[in-house]
Amino acid sequence: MVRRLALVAAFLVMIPLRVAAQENAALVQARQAYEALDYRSAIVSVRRALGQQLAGGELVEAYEMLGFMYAALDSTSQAVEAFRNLIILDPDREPDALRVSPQITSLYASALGQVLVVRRVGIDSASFVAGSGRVPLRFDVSQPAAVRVRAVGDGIDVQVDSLFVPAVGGVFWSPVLDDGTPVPPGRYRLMIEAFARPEQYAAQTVVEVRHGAVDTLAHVTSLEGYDFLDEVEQPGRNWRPLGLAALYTAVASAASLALENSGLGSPTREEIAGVSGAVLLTGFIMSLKKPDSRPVPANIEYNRLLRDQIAQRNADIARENDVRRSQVQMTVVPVAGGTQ
Amino acid sequence: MKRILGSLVVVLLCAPRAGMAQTIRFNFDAIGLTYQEVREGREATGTGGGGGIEIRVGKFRLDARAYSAQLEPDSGGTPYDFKQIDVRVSFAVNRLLALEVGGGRRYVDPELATQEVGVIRIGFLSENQLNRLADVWIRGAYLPDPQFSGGGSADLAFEFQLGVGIGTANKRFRFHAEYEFQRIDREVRSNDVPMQLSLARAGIAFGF
Repeated sequence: MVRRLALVAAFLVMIPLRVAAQENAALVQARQAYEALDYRSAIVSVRRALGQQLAGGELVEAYEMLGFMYAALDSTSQAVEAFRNLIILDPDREPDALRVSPQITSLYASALGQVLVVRRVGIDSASFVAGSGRVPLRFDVSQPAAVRVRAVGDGIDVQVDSLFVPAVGGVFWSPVLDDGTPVPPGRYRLMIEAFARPEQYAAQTVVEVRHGAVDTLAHVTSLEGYDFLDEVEQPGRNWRPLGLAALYTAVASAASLALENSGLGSPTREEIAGVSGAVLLTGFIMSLKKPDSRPVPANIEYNRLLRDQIAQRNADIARENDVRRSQVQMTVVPVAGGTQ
Repeated sequence: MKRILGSLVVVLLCAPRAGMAQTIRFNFDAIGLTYQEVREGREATGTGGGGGIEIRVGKFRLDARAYSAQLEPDSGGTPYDFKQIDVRVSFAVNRLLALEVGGGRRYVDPELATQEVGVIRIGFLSENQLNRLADVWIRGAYLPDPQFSGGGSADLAFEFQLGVGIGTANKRFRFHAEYEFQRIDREVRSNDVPMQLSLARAGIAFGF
């Protein structure tokens, strides 16, 4: 247990040295012998390299080569031991099943079952309104374990969740404080601590939390699927004006003829004839003319209801926008290389 | 009479409530008329001119009209001036029908050329739009107890009109033609001395 933690500590400490330091000569020799399939010489070189100070990546490579070579030489227990060290150093580094023999993958799986590590930590970018969204965090544990996840930031250390994870686990992080206010913008470490007595393991991933304004909704001028209808229609040509003129003329002429005083002789009737002709001519001309547009009450009522609906919708949008202006849009982005 | 008319015009102009449609229209007319009285063959014809004002406020409408014509008896008598003033106030019961009351006065010069007549009228007006530009109307009225300068009475007296108007869509300019018929069966000491008027009117109107 102490040895594993020391390995992890050494790996973490040496990561910065990986680029800067010069490559270990023993490890170079081991690699050349490994590529020449001279496993025994390679194992000797790797062992020598492991006795020296190795950078994190070199350490991982050394144990990986060691595991592969012991597996090739059928040294099962030594291969498993090498793979256990490899897994502790870099839990996500595993043999490519398409390129290595099944024996190696089998031994790697065996080693994996003997240690407790948190692997395949994954988190996706997410953007949501504070308090109404969560960030999913995925991970695997190599053994059934009790897991506690914490979010640690500048002056903030809150527990996200604790749960028992048989193999594949996940939690959701709602980046708000206990009082419901969003966590301040900045970088946060999501610490995943696994406990399976007597072992324990911790992994982390770093995310960046950004604050922004919540998008407001645009007001609408129409409703999808509903179009305004024409409130007037153009009727076809008809003879109603002439009919009306004829009706009125007939009534007046009949009354004039019927109610004349016969004792006064027969009048000239020039006046009634002239005006009746004018009335009929007007009716005829108006019938030839294109009729006036006329309102369509059903469409007018439909448009009124539609306008009411749009107004109601815009009132709802205005209320919603008032709320949104007081909210915070949170964006959580995983930091590249932040998962360890 | 003038005082009453003046008061009515002032009330109609000043009283409109908010939202009421209001129209004022001035008419200028040319007229031709045939006037018959007493017996067959006693007839006079003539032409003249006139004018009037029409005011609409909401459902109310006021028509005041006057005309003057010189009539020449067919029998060769002396020509005389024939003047008429008519006032009508109507109230629209519905879109097509209005009830109407009013009065009229006929003046003749020289005084004894024919009868001067004063009437009140109770009747109806039916106006119908042919379209936005034109309308037709008929109106009829009973004339109860007409008064004559030469005395007498009339048990039967009525009148009716047929008219047509055509103008611009905004109603500001308008031509009109109108026929008016009036029959009054006057009796004097049990003698029938009827009178009958046929009038054609054509003119223009300007509205505001």
